[in-house]
Amino acid sequence: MKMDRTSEIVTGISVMSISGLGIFWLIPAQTSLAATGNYDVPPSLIPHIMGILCLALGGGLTLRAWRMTATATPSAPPAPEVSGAGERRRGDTEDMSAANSLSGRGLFFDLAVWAGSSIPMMLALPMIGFIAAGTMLLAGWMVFAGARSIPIIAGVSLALPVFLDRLCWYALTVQLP
Amino acid sequence: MIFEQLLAGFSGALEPINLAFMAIGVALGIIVGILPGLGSVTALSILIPITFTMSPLVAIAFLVGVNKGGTSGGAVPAILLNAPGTPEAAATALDGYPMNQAGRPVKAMKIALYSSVFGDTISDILLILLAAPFAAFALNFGPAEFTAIVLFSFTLIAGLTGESLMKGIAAAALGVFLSTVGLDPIDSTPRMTFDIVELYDGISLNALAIGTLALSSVIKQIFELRREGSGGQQLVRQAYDPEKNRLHPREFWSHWRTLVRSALIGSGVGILPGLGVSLAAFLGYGSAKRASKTPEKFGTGHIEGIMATEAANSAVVGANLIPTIALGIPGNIAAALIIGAFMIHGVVPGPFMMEQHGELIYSIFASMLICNLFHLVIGRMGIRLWGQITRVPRNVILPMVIVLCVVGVYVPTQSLFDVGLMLAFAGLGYLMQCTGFSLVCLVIGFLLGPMFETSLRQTLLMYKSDLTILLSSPIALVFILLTLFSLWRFARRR
Repeated sequence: MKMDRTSEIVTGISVMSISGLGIFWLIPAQTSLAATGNYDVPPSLIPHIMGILCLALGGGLTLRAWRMTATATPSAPPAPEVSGAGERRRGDTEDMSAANSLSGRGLFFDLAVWAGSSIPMMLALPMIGFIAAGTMLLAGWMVFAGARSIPIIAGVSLALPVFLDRLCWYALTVQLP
Repeated sequence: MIFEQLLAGFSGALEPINLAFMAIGVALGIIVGILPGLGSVTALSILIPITFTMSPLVAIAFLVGVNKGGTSGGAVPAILLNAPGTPEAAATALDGYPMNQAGRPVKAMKIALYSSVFGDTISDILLILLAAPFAAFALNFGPAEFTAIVLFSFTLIAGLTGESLMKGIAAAALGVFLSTVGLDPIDSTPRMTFDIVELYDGISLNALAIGTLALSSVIKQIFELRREGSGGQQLVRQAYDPEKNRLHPREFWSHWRTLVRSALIGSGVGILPGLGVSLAAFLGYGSAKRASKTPEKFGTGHIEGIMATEAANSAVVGANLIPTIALGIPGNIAAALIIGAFMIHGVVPGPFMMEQHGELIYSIFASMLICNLFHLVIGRMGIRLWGQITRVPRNVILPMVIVLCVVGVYVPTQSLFDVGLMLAFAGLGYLMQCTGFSLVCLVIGFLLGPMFETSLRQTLLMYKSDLTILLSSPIALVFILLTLFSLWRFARRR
């Protein structure tokens, strides 16, 4: 995905900030810093190396974006043959045209929508159960995705959670919440 | 020796339960592959949890069936709708769709199916022949060599699977970081667990894989659908002429050179970690066009165009298990998920796997060959049906996958914590996709992280913290030099 200079700078700074948080707070607070043996390394070594690597790469990304002219893109788009897109689905290739036009604000909106559906779902699951929560989740996302046929929305959003609930119980003896 | 073990493997593979699940796996794989936007990775991510109750052989055979079916299923919408179900089928559309427009859709799908099965079979044979020698060679490797190999794999995968080497390495580093959450492998002290009991065993592979690979892809497509304002696919119905759609064996086999060449190209691509299935498809197509006496026919509904693409992309499926089985290093993301499935069933991929679980491995090889037969039969029987599946609108299918993901993560551990983690990882995956970070690197970093940490720490313990062993062991030195060379090449290319 091609990103503009500002987005690249924001991305680089975010990577640095998150890495810094990990290195200076998360790892020291949550991991033993002492090695157990003479030649062993402390359990925090690998997390620290990875954190420092991310911090350095975040710095590199920021610096690279900073040195770009305002109109240039950070890198040439990859040739389709070597992008490794074979491992990803149509929707998650990195040079999707729709994604290219996605602004930072649009991205935050999307994430807010996702959080806005996930958090209530997590709260609702233990309270009202999978069938009711799943029905609401499914119907909500179908409407959001553009489905407008009420019989299809109602039928699918009711039938699938009930079917899965019964399937899990009878086939796997797992009771969904 | 290999032949005898393979024959023994067939006795396990021919168990009725195994046969039934292979057939179901192939059918499910084809169906998911047909649905535009989904594919074998999504199918594998969702279906791994349901294999928990199966025996290792049935589970892996089932997942291999899903992978095989999913890889070839993408050809159907490519031919019928000019909308490849999977990226690797994009090259199939170049000749498949024109053939459909010329009133020969069934013929195009037959060519795609037969070529796919052929490529798959060649690649499976190579896997059977090469896995054991590779693994035997890898038995010479110690922790220092494995550390160097994992470093090389990270570099190769980061360099090849994204737009930016720096972002690729950062994603892999994040994956390794996430893999360190839980109890320390050497002294069992908790790391970054926040005293949450569910995190003591580490972050659930299911939650991470399903969240980042399947769910993030689905939510991205839903947001794109909403922005585009279109909901489904329109299938253009055409009058069906049986005579025009008949494929004579002589016509098919007259292009055997294209088939063999493409299958070998796909297998070669599959053996090297990080190279995508798409690369195999486009390389196969390109080489067939270059070798053809009538290159001008390519792109106009030419039989060789479909053959080359499908034989090459399906040949990746078996070959990418060669580094998986011999070294424990996944060739691509589907192989990474299969490694995860192996580990879930108590089988640790790597050179010792052939020694410790030889019977299981050869049964899996035999199952892969049988799967090809199922692929041929089920694919052929369903050709008319698959066309109908492409008519299901995406704005109905995609939300259904969200619910399937929730169930898929909940069932194995019955933990709502894992469901919450999956939803969080889906958001992270979406953010990473939109900012150009490779999810392939993240997941492979997560999977190889424990191997990297354990071998590095074992090296330090064995050689008294002397890391120069990485330069004095010839094999490790070769891989360290390859790592440096790859870094230099990728940095220059970009």
